[in-house]
Amino acid sequence: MPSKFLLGKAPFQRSVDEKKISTTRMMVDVIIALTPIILFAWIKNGLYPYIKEVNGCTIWKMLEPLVFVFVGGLASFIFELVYFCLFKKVRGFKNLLKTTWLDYAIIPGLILALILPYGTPIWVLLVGCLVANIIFKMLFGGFGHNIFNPALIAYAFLVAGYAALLTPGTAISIGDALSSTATVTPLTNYQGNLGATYEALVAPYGSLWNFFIGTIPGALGETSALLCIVGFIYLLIRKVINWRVPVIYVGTVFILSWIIGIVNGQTGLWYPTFNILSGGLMFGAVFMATEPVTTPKSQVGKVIFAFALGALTVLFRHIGSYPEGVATAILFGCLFTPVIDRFAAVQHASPINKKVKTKYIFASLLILAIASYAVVKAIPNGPKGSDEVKITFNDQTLSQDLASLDFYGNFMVGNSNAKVTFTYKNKVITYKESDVTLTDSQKEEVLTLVKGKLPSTFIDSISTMENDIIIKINQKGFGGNIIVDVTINNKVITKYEIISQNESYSEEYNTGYDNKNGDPITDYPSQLVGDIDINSLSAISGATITSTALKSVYSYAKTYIQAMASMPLMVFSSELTQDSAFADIKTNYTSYQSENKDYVLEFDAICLINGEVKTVTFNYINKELTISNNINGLNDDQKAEIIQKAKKLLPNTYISNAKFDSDCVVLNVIQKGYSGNISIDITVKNKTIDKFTIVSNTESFNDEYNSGYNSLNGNPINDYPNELIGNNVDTNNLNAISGATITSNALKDAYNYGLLFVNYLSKGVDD
Amino acid sequence: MILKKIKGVHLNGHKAMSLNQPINNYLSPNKIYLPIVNGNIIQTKLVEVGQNVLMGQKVLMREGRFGHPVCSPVSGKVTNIVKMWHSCGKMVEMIEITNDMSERKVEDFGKPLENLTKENIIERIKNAGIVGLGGAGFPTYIKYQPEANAEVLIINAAECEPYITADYVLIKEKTQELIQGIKYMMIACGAKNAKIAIKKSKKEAIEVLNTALTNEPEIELFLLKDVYPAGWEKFIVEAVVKKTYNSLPSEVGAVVNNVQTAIAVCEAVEQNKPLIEKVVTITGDGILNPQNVRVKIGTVVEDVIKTIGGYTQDMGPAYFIAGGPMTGRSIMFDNLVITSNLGSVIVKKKDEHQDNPACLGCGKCSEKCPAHLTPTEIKNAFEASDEIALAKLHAEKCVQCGLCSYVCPSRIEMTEYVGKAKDFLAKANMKK
Repeated sequence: MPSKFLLGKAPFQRSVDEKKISTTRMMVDVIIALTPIILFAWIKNGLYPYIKEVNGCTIWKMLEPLVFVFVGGLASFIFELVYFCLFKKVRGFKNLLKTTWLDYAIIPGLILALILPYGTPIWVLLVGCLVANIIFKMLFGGFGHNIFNPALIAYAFLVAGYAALLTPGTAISIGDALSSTATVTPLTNYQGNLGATYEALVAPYGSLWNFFIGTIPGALGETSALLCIVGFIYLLIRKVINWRVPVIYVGTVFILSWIIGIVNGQTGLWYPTFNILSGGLMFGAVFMATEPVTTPKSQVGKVIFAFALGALTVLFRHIGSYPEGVATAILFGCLFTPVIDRFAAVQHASPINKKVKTKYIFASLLILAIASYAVVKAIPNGPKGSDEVKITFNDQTLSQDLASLDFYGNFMVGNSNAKVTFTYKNKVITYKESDVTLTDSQKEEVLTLVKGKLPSTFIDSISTMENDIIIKINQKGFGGNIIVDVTINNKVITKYEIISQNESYSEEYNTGYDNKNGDPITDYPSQLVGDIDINSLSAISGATITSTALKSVYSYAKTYIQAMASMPLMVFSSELTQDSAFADIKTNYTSYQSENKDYVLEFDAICLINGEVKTVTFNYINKELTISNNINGLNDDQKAEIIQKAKKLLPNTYISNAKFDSDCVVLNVIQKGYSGNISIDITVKNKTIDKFTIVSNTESFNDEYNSGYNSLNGNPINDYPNELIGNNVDTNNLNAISGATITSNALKDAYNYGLLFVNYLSKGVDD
Repeated sequence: MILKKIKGVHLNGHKAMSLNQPINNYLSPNKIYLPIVNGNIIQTKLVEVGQNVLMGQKVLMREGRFGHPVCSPVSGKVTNIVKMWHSCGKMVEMIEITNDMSERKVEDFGKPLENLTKENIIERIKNAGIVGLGGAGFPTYIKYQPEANAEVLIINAAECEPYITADYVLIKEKTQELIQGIKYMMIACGAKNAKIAIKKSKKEAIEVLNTALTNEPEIELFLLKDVYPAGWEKFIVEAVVKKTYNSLPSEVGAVVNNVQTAIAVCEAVEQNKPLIEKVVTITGDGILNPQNVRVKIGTVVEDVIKTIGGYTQDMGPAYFIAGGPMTGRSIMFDNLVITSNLGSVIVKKKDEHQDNPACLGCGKCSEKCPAHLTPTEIKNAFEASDEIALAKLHAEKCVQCGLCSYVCPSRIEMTEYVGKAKDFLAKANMKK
């Protein structure tokens, strides 16, 4: 008789039965991997401060971290037990315990306790456990059927509902015990400050090593990257999780933040390292992104999921309102798990062909797009951030650059140092440039910061008088600003002239002031010339402030003279002068006429060349400037530079040359017009402007481009030459042609210049 | 693509228990049974009840494109047509031949083939009724039919399922026959090279083969990783040829045959011996003396087990598995008939089962699937009767190797679900 056997399903050999693996063992392994993290959290937040006798650390405070985690796990267990009892009608206490245990009820509570900021009230944790286990797990069908990671969704719920209670700060942490740093989490410093420096991000917490070990402020469980890695390795060895998700996730964040760092001027590897060590990324990558129920099951799906998580985390860190993007990214990723799973399963099973490749490329492009969006968002001067960046004025007082007379100051823009330069002209300070790119609103903010922050002594402007350089120094005195013109000739102060002042001292008001001791305003100018020892000049008692102020002016002028030696080539003159032109024309009229040659114009400019003050004379021939006098030690490059600078200093109206005829002189006047120079020949005959001819011009006006111009009103180029004849034209009465005002005025200026010459001739000299 | 490589899983071999003893012969059964319907193959009876048959006489003929004869393993008398347990898990009609123990053979039995040409060898293989002895039972001569010559002959000596050791023992015992068989097969398929694909872990067999192959430059060993399913045809071809194919190895110029098949070819060519014997591994923790037994095809397992010592005393509830533990079937009674495609019988005590929680979605099934399927998705689509999704998920590619069920930490019958899905898809396709 044949023996009878059992019927079963193939395969008859199972890894579960061989005790190689089982779901229960996997869940126990997760708890084992969490144990060192829980212990570390306890040591860091409870035991260590207690041993170090930090203020207010009682035995209860010492035990609190441990109790917190324990309550989390226990509450989750009890909530599910009650649910099974009431709604699933599980009967018998032993049976209930077993059912609840096999639903792995304690894990959401444990993880929730570890990701909540330490110091959260325990009742908030209990609410979280209730939400996690009942609403987001049991109502979805229990273990294996929930669509969101219960701990994470409960965390999101608490952030939304109890944000005010989740801010850390009440807790004592090892950070407090070790140093006096604030308990702000590192990423709070990072948000909005992508160009932040090592000093701003990492230095307040010691070094990156502390980030790795976990002695930084943050939630109970997520600060120690080291222990997360230990847990990762343990879970990997036990084959509970797959390496792909954590490694690719962290790797993507690393690479993306590296790029963002480089774009924002932080090229060091510390930048991406900081990014992956902060914000609970490690904890999220190891314990939450690998949570099997809610994340993709297939290998291809896991890879896609991990890349997407990395991109999303970086994205949320940079555009989200909450500094840590990990939780949001994982929850968001979970939503797509079924889609990713089906996509990956179909692609994986299909033979590799063009269509499949296209789909893979499409999926990678999608992730790449999210990643690039995150990176672009993080580029400086993006639409976000500019308004929120804090700007502070480090120096509080501007300094003057003696060569350009510009002012500069050092600022903190966000977390980067910026040197900003300003121009001061006509008592108005304007933004010039900055070594860190600033937005328009930031420029305005910087300008308001420097208001009233000019130094007490500064050079207002520089002018020249023949071979002298006159520096106008603005000095803060007792009663207001004192303006002093200091004349320098050949590096020696030759004149000290107080232009304006508002000092007041009298025996009545200034105790200690005695008229007999002298008056700095009247006495000092004569003494503060030449080369003197400023310390030997004693301040006049009772007028000390004024005395010191005037002495500062002298010192500042001295400083300027010293600085001249190392200054670049400069042209002091504010305009090329043509002072002697009229006289030359007049005196040489006869000789020029007899030799039948054109009068060549000369311009003078006082320049600083190799630290020496020199007068350079320019000739203007064929519309080109040349240097006519011989200057020692001037090389060709410097010549070109001076000419380049001098060209910009040509006056608006000047005589290019003069031609002599038997009865008249023709002045070729170059006049700055609307779109270029206008060349005009003014013929002076019998001390009268005889002819006004426009030789060439580039002016343009027509109905289309010049608003307000109407050709019916006339055209200055055509009309004015006929008007501007004779000596009696009052240009003020001659109406400018609307829509061509600049051209009109330019022609009037040229006429007036001709009239000046006529008037010069009329001063009793025959032609 | 990295993600597309078949990796396999290392399994507990349990092979040592049947390796200790030499092959035991059990060649004189009282009765043998030959299935008229072998699986889904219908064969024509060439003999009637009451007729006397000789050893090697054709008693059944498979018709059609894959036609080949089935020869009687013993001499005697056709006594009955009865229903017996077949390894497919059902009882099927079989011809019962009562052995007269005289071993009278047909006339040309033992006559070697003189002219060793491709055509003659293929003819011999066909007439000897040789089918693949690895488990599929596919007629061997068909693989040599294509006119285009193959580039490489691969001998599958992986024997990747746990417990089974028949090939391992045979390689050591019939080394010369194996090598001769390979040579005839190379002539038959025109391949210049032959590779014996064997698992790295079979050290003794590798040693024996290395010694025997010193003078055979065209035959080489190819070492496989000790993983399951290393013996899957596709796995071996991908490993050896480094190319993948869709349905048949001939697409990439390869012919794959089993060790036992090669030995059977040798015997057919040199002795004109039809396929009438087979080595079967009878093992498992329910068997007192696990070992390999050479039996006549058609022998009842119950008799063999009794002969070699029977079951263990403390067996208790156990499975009687026809085939390997991964792909075999549990049979309710041990009066199972050994057919040409049955390689082993395993009597395995029932394991204590772990508790069965819900699927946690760890993804191990899809990670390990050698056909690159995602069983969880197929299960979902099957439960929703979604033919379109099943077609997209390529449920038909499942080879039912059993790995998904093997690795499942929640002990979910994934293989069964995917198998059902495969049948469902096939039926849906047939309706169209």
